[in-house]
Amino acid sequence: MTRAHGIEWAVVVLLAAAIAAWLPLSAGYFGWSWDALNHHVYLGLVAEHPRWDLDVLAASVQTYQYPYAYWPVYRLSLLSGSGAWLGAAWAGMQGALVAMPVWCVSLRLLRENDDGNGNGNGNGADVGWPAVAQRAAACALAFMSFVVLAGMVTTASDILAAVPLLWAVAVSLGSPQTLGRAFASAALWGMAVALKLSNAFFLPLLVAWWWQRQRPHLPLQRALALAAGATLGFGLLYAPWGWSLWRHTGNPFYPYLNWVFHAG
Amino acid sequence: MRFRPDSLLEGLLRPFVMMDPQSDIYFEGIAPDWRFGMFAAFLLLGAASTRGLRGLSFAQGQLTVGLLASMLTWTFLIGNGRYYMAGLVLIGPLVVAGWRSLPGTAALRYTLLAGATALQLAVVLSTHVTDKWGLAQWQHGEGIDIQASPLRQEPAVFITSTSISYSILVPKFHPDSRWTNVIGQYDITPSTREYAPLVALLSSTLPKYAVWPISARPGGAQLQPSDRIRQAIAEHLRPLGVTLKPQRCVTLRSSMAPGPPAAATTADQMRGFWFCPVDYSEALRLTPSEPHALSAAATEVFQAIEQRCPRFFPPGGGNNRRDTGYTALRHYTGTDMRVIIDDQEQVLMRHNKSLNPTLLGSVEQVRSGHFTLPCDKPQGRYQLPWQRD
Repeated sequence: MTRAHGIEWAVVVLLAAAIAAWLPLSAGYFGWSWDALNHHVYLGLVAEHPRWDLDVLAASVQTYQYPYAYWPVYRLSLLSGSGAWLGAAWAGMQGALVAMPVWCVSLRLLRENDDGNGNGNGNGADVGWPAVAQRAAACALAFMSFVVLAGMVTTASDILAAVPLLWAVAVSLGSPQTLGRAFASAALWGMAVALKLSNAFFLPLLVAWWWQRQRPHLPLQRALALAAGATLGFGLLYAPWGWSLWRHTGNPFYPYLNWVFHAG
Repeated sequence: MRFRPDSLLEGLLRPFVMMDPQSDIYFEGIAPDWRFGMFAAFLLLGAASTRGLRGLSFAQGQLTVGLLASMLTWTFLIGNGRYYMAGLVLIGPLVVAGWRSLPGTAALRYTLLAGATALQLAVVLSTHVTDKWGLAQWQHGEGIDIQASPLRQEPAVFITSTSISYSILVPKFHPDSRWTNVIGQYDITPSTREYAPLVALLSSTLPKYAVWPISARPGGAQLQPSDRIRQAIAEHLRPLGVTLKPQRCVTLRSSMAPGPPAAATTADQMRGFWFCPVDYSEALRLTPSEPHALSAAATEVFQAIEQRCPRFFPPGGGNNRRDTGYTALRHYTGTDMRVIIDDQEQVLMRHNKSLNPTLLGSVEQVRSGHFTLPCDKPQGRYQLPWQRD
């Protein structure tokens, strides 16, 4: 990455943060959603002060959701001041966190001098205005979604949980395509799944990363690196909550997979 | 279930169906997204040209395959856009990757890219509503706004029985207070694993309160719950051995509760919560009571419908509810469906998004199996453009 790239990256991140921050400012308030009233703030509280010995389903079935990604929201809710400005800080941070990997994905995905294996030749050809324009369009289009923009201004953990997955893709597109890179991508994928189990819908990405251009196309070593990375990434982040659920329900994924753990 | 397609074709067309400015496709509101359709169009145009799919690099092809396979998995398993957030972001760079496979002069191609970006921007701007999900607003002051009260300073047991648990209030009360949401989305019953811990919680010596959002129509200017509301609370809590004490409820102003904006409140209208003192009795809990007990006929009606259409009326997936004007009502929260037996012995079904219920027949007709049920596409579910009336 050149100095010009660094400046471009910073501009994109700042722009994304500003656009996201503008959303609550334009509304004049920060909104609490159904889910925030029901469980987001409570889960953040539980992340800091477990309440198994006090409450019983205080947040209904969502009490069992992975709580740590909601800790920032809980801390935000304890503040006093202008909801619009504090909401702007929250939304701006989420916008910046998404823009960081998205720009890297755009850089690596849209290289001018691609050798066909995801590897640019690094001769700096991708700093000309056509390349910059393409990356700008790519980053802008990444944010042009009602759901993505809505996610910026809510307390849901969808955006935060997506960030490791976006980095996983950014890492996977880098070069050279080593086993270590495959391991790191998979570890980030696993972290995203730990933060939000629904990110497991992106399992096909792992399979796609197994596939490589040169023979053998599906090497066993690469599969093992991906499996080990995914397991480690998921295990590291999920272990504290999984252990807590295990102790209280006999099932680290409660209320799912009860048929496996015979819990209920 | 809410966003899962009703047919294989509807699922396979999801990248294009998302362009439709209708609600409840992959999001509760109207959120058309043309990017997946653009990407597919660019790929098809590129493939049709002399360049073929060689316009995509290996890495671009790898990400395309991984993301589209993830999209199919997501579509058929859940379909809720919030659970495909990374995909909704990554499609941005992929649209540009697809555009790069297009033939034509640079001028033509860049005009196309600018046009595609402008089109999607227009689509988003025309439908975007900031804070689509907001029920309460934080404007100034404390993030969790609730009136100061001695009630918040002493440990107590707080019991909510609404579909929103309002657990957002927990940090604003004494840290040793104990909270439970006993009914609403999930009913704690003797067959659930939470029942024993709930009984232990209710047996606590701490003072206990039922917590309810203040109704828009409380019983007079004293801002106390009307007899009808007290009866509703009592019915919810009675099977747990919990009864309302005759004392007045504590009313605390809070913008976390539903209600009119602060400027619109009147002397007998307030946005906040009732905290009504309750008693717990072990003997009462153990006394058989079936407030939602169904008649044999109603049970047979529900069984017949569940057997006929388990996709929308999963056996064991419904909760019996009481409501004015109905003999019986079963709510299937997982599928947004209700089956209603009205006072005229008519059986009706209604999807959350459907304005009117659909008549299935009389109780006798349904019990005997002589009824038609549109199980493939109930009213209220998303309809493809060419399937609409």
